[in-house]
Amino acid sequence: MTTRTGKLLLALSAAMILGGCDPIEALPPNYESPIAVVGEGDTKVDVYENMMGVLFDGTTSNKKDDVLSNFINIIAEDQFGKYSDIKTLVEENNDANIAAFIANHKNAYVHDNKVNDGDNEVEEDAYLAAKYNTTVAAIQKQRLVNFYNSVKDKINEAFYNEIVGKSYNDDTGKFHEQRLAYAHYASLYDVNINAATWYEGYLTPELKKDDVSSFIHLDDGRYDDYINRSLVRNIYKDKLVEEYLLANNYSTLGRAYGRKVNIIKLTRDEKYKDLPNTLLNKYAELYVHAGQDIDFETIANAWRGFHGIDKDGNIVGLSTNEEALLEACGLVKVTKIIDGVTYKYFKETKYGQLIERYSLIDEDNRYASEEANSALQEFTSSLKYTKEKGLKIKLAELALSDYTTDGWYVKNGGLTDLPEAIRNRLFNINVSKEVDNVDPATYEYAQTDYTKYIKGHYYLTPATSEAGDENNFIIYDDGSFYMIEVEEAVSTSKLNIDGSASYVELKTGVGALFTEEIARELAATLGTKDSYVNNAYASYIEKYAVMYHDTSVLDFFKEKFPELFDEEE
Amino acid sequence: MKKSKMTLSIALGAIACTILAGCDNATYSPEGYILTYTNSAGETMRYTAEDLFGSYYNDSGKVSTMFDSIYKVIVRNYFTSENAGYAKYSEILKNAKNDVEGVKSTAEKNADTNSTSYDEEWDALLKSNNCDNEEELLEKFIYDRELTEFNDQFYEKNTDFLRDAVPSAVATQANPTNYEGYLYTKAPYHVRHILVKVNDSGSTNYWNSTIDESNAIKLYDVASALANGGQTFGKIAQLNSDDSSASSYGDLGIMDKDTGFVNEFKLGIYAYENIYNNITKTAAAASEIAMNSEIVADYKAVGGTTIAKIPYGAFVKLYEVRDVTKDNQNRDVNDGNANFYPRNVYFNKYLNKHYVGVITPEDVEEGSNDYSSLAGFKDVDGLGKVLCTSEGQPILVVRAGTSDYQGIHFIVIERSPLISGEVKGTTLSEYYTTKYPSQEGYPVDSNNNPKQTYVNFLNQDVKAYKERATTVENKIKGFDTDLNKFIYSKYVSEEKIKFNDAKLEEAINNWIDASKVKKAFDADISWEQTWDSYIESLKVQNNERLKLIPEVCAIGFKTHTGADWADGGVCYDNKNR
Repeated sequence: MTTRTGKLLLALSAAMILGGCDPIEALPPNYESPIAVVGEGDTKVDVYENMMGVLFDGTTSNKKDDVLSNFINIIAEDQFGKYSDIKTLVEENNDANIAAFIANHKNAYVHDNKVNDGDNEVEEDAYLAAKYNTTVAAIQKQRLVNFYNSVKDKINEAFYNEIVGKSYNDDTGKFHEQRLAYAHYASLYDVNINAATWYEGYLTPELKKDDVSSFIHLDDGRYDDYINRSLVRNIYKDKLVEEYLLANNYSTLGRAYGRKVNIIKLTRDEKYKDLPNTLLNKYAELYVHAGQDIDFETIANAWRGFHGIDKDGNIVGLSTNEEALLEACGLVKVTKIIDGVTYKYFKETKYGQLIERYSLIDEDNRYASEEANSALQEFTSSLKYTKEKGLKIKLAELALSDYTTDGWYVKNGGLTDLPEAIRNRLFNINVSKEVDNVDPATYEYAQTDYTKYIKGHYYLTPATSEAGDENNFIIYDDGSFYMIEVEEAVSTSKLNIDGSASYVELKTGVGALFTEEIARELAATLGTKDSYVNNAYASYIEKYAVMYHDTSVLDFFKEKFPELFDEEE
Repeated sequence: MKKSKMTLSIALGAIACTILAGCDNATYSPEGYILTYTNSAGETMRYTAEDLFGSYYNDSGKVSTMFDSIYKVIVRNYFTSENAGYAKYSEILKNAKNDVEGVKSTAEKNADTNSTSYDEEWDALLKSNNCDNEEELLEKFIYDRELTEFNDQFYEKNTDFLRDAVPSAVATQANPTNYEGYLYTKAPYHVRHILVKVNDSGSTNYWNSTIDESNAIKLYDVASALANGGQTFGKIAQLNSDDSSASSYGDLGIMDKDTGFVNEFKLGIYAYENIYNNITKTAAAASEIAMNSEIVADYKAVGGTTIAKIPYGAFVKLYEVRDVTKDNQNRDVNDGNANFYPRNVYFNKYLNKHYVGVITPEDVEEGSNDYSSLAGFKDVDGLGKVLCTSEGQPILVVRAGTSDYQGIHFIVIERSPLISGEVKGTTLSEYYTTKYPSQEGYPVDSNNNPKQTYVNFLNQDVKAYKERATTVENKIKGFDTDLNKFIYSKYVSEEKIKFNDAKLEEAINNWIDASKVKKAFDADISWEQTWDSYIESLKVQNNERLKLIPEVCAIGFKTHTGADWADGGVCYDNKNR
């Protein structure tokens, strides 16, 4: 090194030492450019704070969170691919294109982790291909299709939550799609508010999370910008956590006591105390023991007494099966004409009770009874609106009352509305031992069993029931009756792809990704917990070999993900 | 020596690097990178400050924040570039400096009071003003004063435009942004009324309101004074109205779309102008108070295809039976149930209606008198012979109330916004002048006499006129909550200000557009909901009125014999005796 170099080094070092640690802030190149200019030469308007930096500083108060959120989104899109691209691939169904896409997104769609096939170690996809008599390419393609469908379902679910959230209803409870569209338009999403048709209508029990197409135009692209810029962003972040759990916490999924359940809950009312019990027992007789398709919505609708109001404001009555169920309970359908409108109902149902009360109103009688006046006040909200409008409001509310619960739940924080005794029993390990492990040919219910297997379905039984009670899976607790079908009860061994007690061995007639889909359901449920989210994000950020050029962002990442910086410190 | 210097350099360099590495892992990027990362394909990628900022252009909350800053530039620029603004700047600066001194003085006082230090109190006051230092505080005060002055000057120069601007199919030079001014948007009515309060507190006693003797007398007094025509509406209001407008001869001031009058009053006037008033129907349909065809049909179904008619004879009857509460033998009828008092029967049948009506010279149903010769009854196009003011204005009548009062309103529309041409020689714009008589710019006739406007509607002193002029001015100044967006668009369209960043300009324009569209949409929904709610209450009223005690019960009250009063009769009170 020459003297000159030495002097230079001396000078620089001194400057660094003297200068100390000034925070570094990443600024856009136009930070010091003027916001506004005037005149032909575009001269800067010479006033205080005429600087783009003012706008930048004013909007980046949440910079750290925004950077993290945006970066996670970048990672998610990098891992999974753009949703719009995936949509095109799935719709066009060109295998070559799909294979090329998968090759560029291996992390998400290729499972090449090793599993045991006898004494050999093989890749998971190859193992499944052999087990299910298909190809690796077919499995990976299916994985992509499943991903797409899952995102689509989540999009539907997001819209469902908006629809039932009531922000876009009028004062009778009718949903207006146009109001939802305008709300998104005001939030600067590119929504086609000039579309010619909009849905308007009352929500019915048939509206499910996986199908909102009767209330939202999802097919004509009018919400594409909102879907891509808002919904998919959030869904992709969740999917990243799901992927992380699958890859890094697989055993946790098995130990989460995952349950896929269908639950019906009917609460006794003062007037018809025995109906819930009668209804459930009759359903057990006609459907459960008879080996019919099980759908608790049949009971729910029967109990409710109607299906809601259609788009034209007409009552949608019960189906033939639902009526048959009520008749089998000894109930009789009555017909009543009120103000020229014909109502047909079973008076013991919720709908029936509502109409019975409505029929008490004696509007033009100066000396109507106290009961009639009370009903009038109730249906008109103290004479604010007509009783017809009041009835519509009540029917709209009744149509949405939900007596069933279904889906995937885990022990930690799942189904907290269930009575503790029932909940504890449902999430007991014995349930997972029993479900899927029955030999239908030789099955016999034992009094100590946690579930009862009947014609292909498992039902939770209570801790104590009467000996010989064929319907002891109808559980009574504190004024309410429950029937709980356990479709799946997950355990670690069932989720082990290559285990002898795995779903791969236990289940027949299911697809190659059946086990994986169950694992994903559990991962999605668990993935809402902050600790898993943080761990997942940290894991992915680490893979991306990040360098930081902004002190506040770096400090924030250090605080949130200290494990990423431990070695350096 | 060379070697030792070199050694020293290297050592210092090592120390410096250690300091840098130990103090921060963030590395400076002149290009504004926030993160550099390697994606799954092994490519080096960047996430930049420009990316971050660009993402905000699609976030309405962020764009709104940007707009506020941009607006400040517009305002500040006004005081450097435009003469009117520039002339005021030195005064603004001086006052702002005084404001800063004021804060310093407050800091001193607070330090004394709180036994703290001046610096602590000063910092606290800076923080409460969202400033970090004195320079920022001064700039804040300068801007606050600039904004006030800017708005005042803008209003001063543009008051007439803000009041009168009307949108058209094609934007004009006079109105390039198709601005919708106060008169167009808010459709102000100048209204007067006489309120006769009744002591019935139940707003939903649609068939069974009860009034006392004094109420009956007053209702007759007001109606008969109007019918006999010997006094002006204003005089009758002064002597009879049961609210503070009595001292202003019944003047209620300006009722526009934002005014919080009860539906019966406000929507009643709108219904009258849209449906029943032949003079204003056509203009109403094209105005901001238009009732669409569905609302009109729904309203007509409850309020009538022709306007409700209240026979003058009902008021006469009210007076006749004002104190009748017992039968011929001074006994209670139907156990003294006040619903059967004749005055209440007549009141409920003819006056207890929550939709507007007019008073006709007919008698009650069972009567046969004709009052059409009374001076107050005049022919009105589309309405027939109805009770009017001495100047020929039809008097609308409606039952209304809140939790604070119940009563009957006798309403006069002094000036409708649907007649923009001259009425008594004054245009609508002139009527809502912001000047007071003798002030330059006040509308005058060909003889230089002050025209009759809202401001000089009554004979008052100059101070009162100034107050009324200020009322109009405040209405015009305050009606548009998005005025700053209009000012911004105006400045941009006149190229007084240009953006350096086209994307930013586009983002702001999109945001303004989206806000405007959403606001209009929400306003439409709110308008429909208001009508729905009112019409629904009228449906309830009409249903309830099926229980009305019929007029025959008033007629036969004193004798209360015959089938009508027996079990099952229309006057029977359902009690076993």
